[in-house]
Amino acid sequence: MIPELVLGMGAVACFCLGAFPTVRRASQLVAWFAVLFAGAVVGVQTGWWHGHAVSEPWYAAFGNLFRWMGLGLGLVLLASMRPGASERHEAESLGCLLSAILGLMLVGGAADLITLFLGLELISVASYILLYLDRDGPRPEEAAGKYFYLSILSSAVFLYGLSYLYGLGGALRLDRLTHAWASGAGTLGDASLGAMAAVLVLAGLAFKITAVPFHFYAPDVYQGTSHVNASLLSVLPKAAGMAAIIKLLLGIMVGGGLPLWQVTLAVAVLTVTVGNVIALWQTHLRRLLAYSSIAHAGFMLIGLTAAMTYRRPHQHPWDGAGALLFYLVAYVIATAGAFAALSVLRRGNRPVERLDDLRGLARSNATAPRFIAWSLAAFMFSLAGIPPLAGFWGKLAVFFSALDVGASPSENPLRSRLLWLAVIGAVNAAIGAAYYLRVVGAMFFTEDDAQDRQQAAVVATPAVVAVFACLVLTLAIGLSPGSWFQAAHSASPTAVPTIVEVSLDTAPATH
Amino acid sequence: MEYLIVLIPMMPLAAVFVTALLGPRVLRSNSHVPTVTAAAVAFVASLALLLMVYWATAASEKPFATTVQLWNWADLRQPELEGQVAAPDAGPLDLARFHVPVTLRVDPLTAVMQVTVTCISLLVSIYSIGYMHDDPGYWRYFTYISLFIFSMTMLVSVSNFALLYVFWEAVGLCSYLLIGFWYHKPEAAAAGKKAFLVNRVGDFGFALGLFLLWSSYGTLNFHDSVHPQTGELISAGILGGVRTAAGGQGYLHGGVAMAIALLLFVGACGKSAQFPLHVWLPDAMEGPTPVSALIHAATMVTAGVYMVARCMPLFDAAPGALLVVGCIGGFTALLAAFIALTQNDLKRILAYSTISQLGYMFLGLSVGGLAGAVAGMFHLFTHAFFKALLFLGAGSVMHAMGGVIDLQRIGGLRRRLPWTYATFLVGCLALAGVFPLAGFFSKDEILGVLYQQEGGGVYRLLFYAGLAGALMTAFYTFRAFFLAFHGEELVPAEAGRHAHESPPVMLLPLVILAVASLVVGAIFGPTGWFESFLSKTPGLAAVAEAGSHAAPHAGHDGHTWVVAWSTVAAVLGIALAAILYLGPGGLLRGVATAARSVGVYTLSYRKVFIDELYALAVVRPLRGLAIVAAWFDRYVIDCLVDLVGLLPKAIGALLRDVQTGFIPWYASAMMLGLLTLLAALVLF
Amino acid sequence: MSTLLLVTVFLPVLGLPLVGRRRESARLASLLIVTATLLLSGYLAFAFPAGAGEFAVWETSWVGGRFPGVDLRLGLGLDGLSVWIFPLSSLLTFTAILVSWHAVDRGATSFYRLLLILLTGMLGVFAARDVLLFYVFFEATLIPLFFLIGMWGHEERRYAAVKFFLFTLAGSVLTFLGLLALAIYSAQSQPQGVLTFSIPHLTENLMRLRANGQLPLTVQIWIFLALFAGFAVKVPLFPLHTWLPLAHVEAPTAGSVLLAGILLKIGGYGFLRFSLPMLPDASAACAPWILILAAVGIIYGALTALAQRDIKRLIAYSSVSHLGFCVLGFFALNPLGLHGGLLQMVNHGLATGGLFAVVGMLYERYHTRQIEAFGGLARRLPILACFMFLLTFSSIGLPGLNGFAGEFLILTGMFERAWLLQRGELVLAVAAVFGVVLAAWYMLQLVGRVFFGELKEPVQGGMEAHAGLAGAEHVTGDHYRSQGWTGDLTAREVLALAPLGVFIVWIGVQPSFFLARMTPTLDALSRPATRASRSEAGPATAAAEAVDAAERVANRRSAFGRAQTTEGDPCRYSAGIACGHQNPPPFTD
Repeated sequence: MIPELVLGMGAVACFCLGAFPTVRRASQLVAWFAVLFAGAVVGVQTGWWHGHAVSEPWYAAFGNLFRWMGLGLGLVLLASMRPGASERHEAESLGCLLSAILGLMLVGGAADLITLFLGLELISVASYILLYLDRDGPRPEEAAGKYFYLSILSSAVFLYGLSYLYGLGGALRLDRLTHAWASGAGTLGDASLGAMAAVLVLAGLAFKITAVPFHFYAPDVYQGTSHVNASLLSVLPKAAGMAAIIKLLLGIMVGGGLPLWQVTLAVAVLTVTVGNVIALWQTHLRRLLAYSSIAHAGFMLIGLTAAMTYRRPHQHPWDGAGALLFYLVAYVIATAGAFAALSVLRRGNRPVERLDDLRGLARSNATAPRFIAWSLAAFMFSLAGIPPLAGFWGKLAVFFSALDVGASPSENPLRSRLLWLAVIGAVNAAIGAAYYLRVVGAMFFTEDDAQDRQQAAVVATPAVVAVFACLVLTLAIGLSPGSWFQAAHSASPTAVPTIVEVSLDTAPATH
Repeated sequence: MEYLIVLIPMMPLAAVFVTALLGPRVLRSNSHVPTVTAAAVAFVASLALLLMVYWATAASEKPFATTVQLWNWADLRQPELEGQVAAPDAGPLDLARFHVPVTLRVDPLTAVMQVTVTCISLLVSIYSIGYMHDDPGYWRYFTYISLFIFSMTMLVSVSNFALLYVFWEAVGLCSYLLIGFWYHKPEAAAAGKKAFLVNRVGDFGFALGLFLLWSSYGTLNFHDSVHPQTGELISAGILGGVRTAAGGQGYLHGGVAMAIALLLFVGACGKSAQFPLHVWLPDAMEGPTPVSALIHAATMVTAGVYMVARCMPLFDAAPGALLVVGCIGGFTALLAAFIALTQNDLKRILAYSTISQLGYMFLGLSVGGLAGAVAGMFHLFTHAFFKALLFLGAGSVMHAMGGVIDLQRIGGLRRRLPWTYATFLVGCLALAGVFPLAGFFSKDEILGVLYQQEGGGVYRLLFYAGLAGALMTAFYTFRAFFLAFHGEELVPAEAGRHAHESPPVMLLPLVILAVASLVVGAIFGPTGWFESFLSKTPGLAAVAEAGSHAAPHAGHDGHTWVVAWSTVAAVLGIALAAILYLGPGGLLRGVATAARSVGVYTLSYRKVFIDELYALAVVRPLRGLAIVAAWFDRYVIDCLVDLVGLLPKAIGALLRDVQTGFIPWYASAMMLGLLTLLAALVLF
Repeated sequence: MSTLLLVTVFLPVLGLPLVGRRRESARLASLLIVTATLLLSGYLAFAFPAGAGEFAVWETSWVGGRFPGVDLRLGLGLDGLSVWIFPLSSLLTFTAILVSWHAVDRGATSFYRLLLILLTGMLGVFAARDVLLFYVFFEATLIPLFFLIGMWGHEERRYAAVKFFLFTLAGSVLTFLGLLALAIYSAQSQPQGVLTFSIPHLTENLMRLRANGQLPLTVQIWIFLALFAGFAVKVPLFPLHTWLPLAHVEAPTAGSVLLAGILLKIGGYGFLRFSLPMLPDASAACAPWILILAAVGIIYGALTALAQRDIKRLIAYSSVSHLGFCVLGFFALNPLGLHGGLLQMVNHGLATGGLFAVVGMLYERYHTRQIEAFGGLARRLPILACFMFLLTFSSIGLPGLNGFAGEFLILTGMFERAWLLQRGELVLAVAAVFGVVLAAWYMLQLVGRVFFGELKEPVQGGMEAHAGLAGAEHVTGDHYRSQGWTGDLTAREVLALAPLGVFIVWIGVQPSFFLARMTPTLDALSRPATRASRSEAGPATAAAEAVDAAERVANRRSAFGRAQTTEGDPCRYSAGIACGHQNPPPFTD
């Protein structure tokens, strides 16, 4: 818990410093120190320089994965927060950021329902404040308001679901819940109670991961706020939501004899399709990336669906849960990188907001804009799933997990549906490429128009370094994905295989 | 012998490289040296080869052939087809090995063709020195000519259908290049393209014939192949000893044989300008005149005849196809002669005459068997000399007249060009078939075999067609001759003051060819040398032995009758021409008016409207189709593709409307979604 | 050798840092790197022993080491399928760099770097021995070409680049699913369920499954169709070709050369590498339909080409036609067609790649590609005309040049298939042969109009038309010579084209040298499909015919045997001066 404590204390320190105008600038230092120190502690604890501890249980690896992810994102977001832009509330913003990261780490490491919920809410509350504090975005009030109301609603739903879960399982601790569920708690008395729990939990978390039809807020809120906030909203709640889904749905409820996979399949198809086709129409960059983030949630849900139905008996990097986690990592890196890249760009004295603002970026005479253009292109290609970038392996893993079920030797009713799921996913991958290419095309293939002589310029901030780091990671994962697959694999729940039989056997009965 | 047959084509090939590399910078006006040297060496080698083959055959009764394999062009094995026999009747071996060796063969047929080709090539090369002397593309010209000699000598000596096809198209390429030699003239460029394309149409059939041959005989080689170590027979070549020794049994019969023969004949029609693929040859006269003499009269265009003679066993297996060959040949002979009657361009008249004479050769071949092959080949042989002579004579006229060859603008040249006049006369007499010139014997042979053919009424009809053709040939030949050399002297302005006789370097070939035209017929015809020599060719030996056809010269009943009729036809034609064109002008006008009034004149003058018909029936529809296809591609297929691409966008447009921006709607949608999920899970 | 192959594939990428900021140094450095790659790949290809199955195999684990159940490798190797396309990639990149020497002004560094990345991608595609590695390279080639078209292309470059990318991607994602499905299926035949992506193992496993009857036809067909989606777009097969003319027309010369020369080959290569050996029954079952598409494509592409006014567009449609031949050869499913198709892919790369290079040289001089703007250029540009003629004749399959060797084998194979198995398909064979006639028509019309007739040169100064990165700096920069420079080919340009000419002639004169190195691999890979296609065509009649035929053969053999022994040797046959016996002696199977 030391890293979490460090972050928590850092957050508190930032909030406190905010009260004293003379020393508030020190909050920067505090935040950086907190994140780096927490990172060092995690490093020491996991002993990452010794290689991975093979024997550690999956949830330990899971927690560490999300710790690393949270801290990494923390660095990127810290770097992207430009000093001076919202100077009045700088300390408070940094404090919120630290809290949000802390929230993600808590969700990842949560061993009981309370911590889990706490972590999620920590992210939410921090986000509300950040959205209110933001003065960089075009319509901060609208963004903050929408997010606040809808998030409250979803939290309520989620909490309601947790209460059912607790009621049926009779415990708050996740391991006990798993045990209880596996022994039939989900179908205790009336099966609809278990279903109630599952659906409420899923619906509550679907908001966090922007799954259809809980996604509506995302485009409006992203558009209304700044790049940094949008970045935070597109990665932190999504990662936390996915973590919670894995813990609750895959770790506990999949064993309850409920045909949950049908629900997730429907949501996956809807999400991936809606996200992609609407994104085709967007010209506002954050709105476009919002839809892109919706679509990616859909891809991850494909992995989730596969994980709910089948798991290969042999050790294998591309079963559903591992695929989901890997995909999440690839997505988070590319998205955070993309937002970081956008946040350093300026046209005159306003941020780059629309596709047109990127015109001719790659043809600039200066080196920095060209570097940003190439990096942004790499992130777009990674999001589109083009090899040899990280996103490709994510798509590979997700599709593979779906096909692996589909093509499994035992004839089962899931087979053809998951095949079609994979095909729909693949077609969507191609559709998705269309709007990513528009971003690339704007930067590379168009000249800057003559009227607007203000070239897109790069404001030198640590964010450039963050972009570079994300770029390196995207390429490195793309070229050598092995260890990343292993990380994702070792962090995926091991409880599933025992549940497969149940799921498969009962599936026909539910028709 | 093996070295000679390799040497003959290699000399011109070497000349190609030497001329192409050194021509523009080093040789310049001496660019002819490599070509002439190569042609001379090749000619001498050919003669030597001929003599060696002659001695070899004279010594024995057996057919003679020998092959040299240079390298493998392709050698693929199809293990799946091991034991699969395409046509069980056809032969002992299967489709398991696709083996195309670059193999040259020596046999009497090849030897005769080699001598003909190299001889004419040498003479034309020498002639070209004078004719082309100040052309800026001098070196280019001789490069092409060398390339042609190489291709043609290879064509007649390869021992494989695939390679036959290779050089078949290679000579076509040379023809294309040489017709379009003066490429800045749009007509020349167009004529070259037309020649190539029409030949391609012929090759289309030829290629299909080859595929059919492969699929039904499992080999494309002429010769049998044996295992180099064990000497065991690997595959029986289509014209090889094993198959021919088996006589008619060695070949397929029936529909497949007919199809093979006809498809091969389509190829021959293209190359040898037979109806309906004859249209390219008259246009080919846009090229330099020596080229017309060499390629479009004496050698390349006879490739079709050579091929049919070479493949005689295949044709012999399909009598129906032979009949088609005869009909096409006869019709072409008449049609071309008819068109030649009214043309005013001297070279065009000669071109149509070539077409007509090639028709004769096919008429001869159509008899089938050894007799047919010999008749066709003999006419090919003699025709090469006198037609080359005529073309070179026309070139000499052209040279003197500053490039003008229109018979309405020249006339009475006999005094200005005495040598040309004399040699041209010899050529005309030979072409008309006057005793004892070359054309007389060869044409007579064709008419003779036609007359004796027992095939029935059709062959008799073809015989009469031949006679009618002979009459017209004599007429148009001497019409041209009289118009050009007799009557009032008429020299066009283009000639300037240079309207003089050609230089000796041009006259020498003319004289040699004239002498040849005078004697070759008499030497080789009545003596039967030609026939007995050719009968030692394996393929022809087979058809001779098959004995299904009347042996020529066996019973010369009615031969004198044939001779008499053909002489009458020739003399009558010449006399008619003399009366009309040397006699009083009123008669000519009267005849012309009469012919015009019934449309015959126009029909002949406009070449029976065949070009127009092609434009209307083939070229325009295809062009139209092309435009339709291009339109279809752009506006249908591409639009469909774009439409598919727009589909997601259209769906997106529909779904976008849901994104209203109102929080209450968002919240209710979330609740609605939640309820739907719940309902789905609980109710189903 | 193995290390050499590894070095060859990655040499261009390793050389990236050498490509400096200045245009002159950038192009020189990239030329040196590509030359080195060319020499190495050429050495590898010519060191490839005839009769060998595989060569220079280099493998290491990629992901699999950490997962015992997964066999994913970084594996490179050459075999009969790739032995000629592999060096061709380097050769055409060499040409591409030389033709871009002056044409690319702005952004030269990026341009040459992208070319180098593209080269590694192309080499990798053909050398990959692992399915995923193949796919990674396959898709990775898209990115550099996307930028090449989009940044240095002509007027509609943006649209063209995006369409090219999306069209290809849309097909290839399905191919991707198909490839994954193949791997998943093959894992079933493994006792430990080891998931292998190694192409040879995959092929072997799937064949084992098929032998056990565990690979039913319906499954094969579904996977085949998934693979087909991507490969057919890439080839491109009618009616999935419309991205091609657009991409060709808008691409810079180097892009067109490589697109036509190499990238189109990946589709056909995919058919040979995956569809035929791994899904033989489906290949045999789908062959008739694909043959129809191919034949329609041949005629349709040729007709459409006939109506084009833009030289590049014409050549692009001719590619549609020519690649129809390749596919026709592949799906004739017999050795003749397969060899021909594979050879024709190389031939098409040489001829069409060269043609695009020549068109680029014309464009560089006159800034237009409209056919009617030209006339009689043979007088003004004799050397260029000479190359144009050589390439044209290669393209229309003139005997003695390479195009003929490929087309002849393809058509013979197709005809043989139709004749022996399915007479109805004779229509396709005849249509394909007719396509050869049409090819001569449109190509000769093109060269006739551009190079023959009265001299007609376009009006100079169409700089506006020359869009792309070569915009502003084109005039002010160190652009070579004057704008109106219309001289004949320079030594550099000759160097770009001459190697192509050498191979055009060599392959035409002695295709057996090239074919012999393909044979072992092709035979091994295509045998199941060939067998399947033969049993496809009515087993009843086939069996009856076989018995019938065997009897008659026996009779005939004895008859001929007698004929030969009794009548002696009717002709003399010399085995000859055997200069070219690369092949193993016959009948020693």
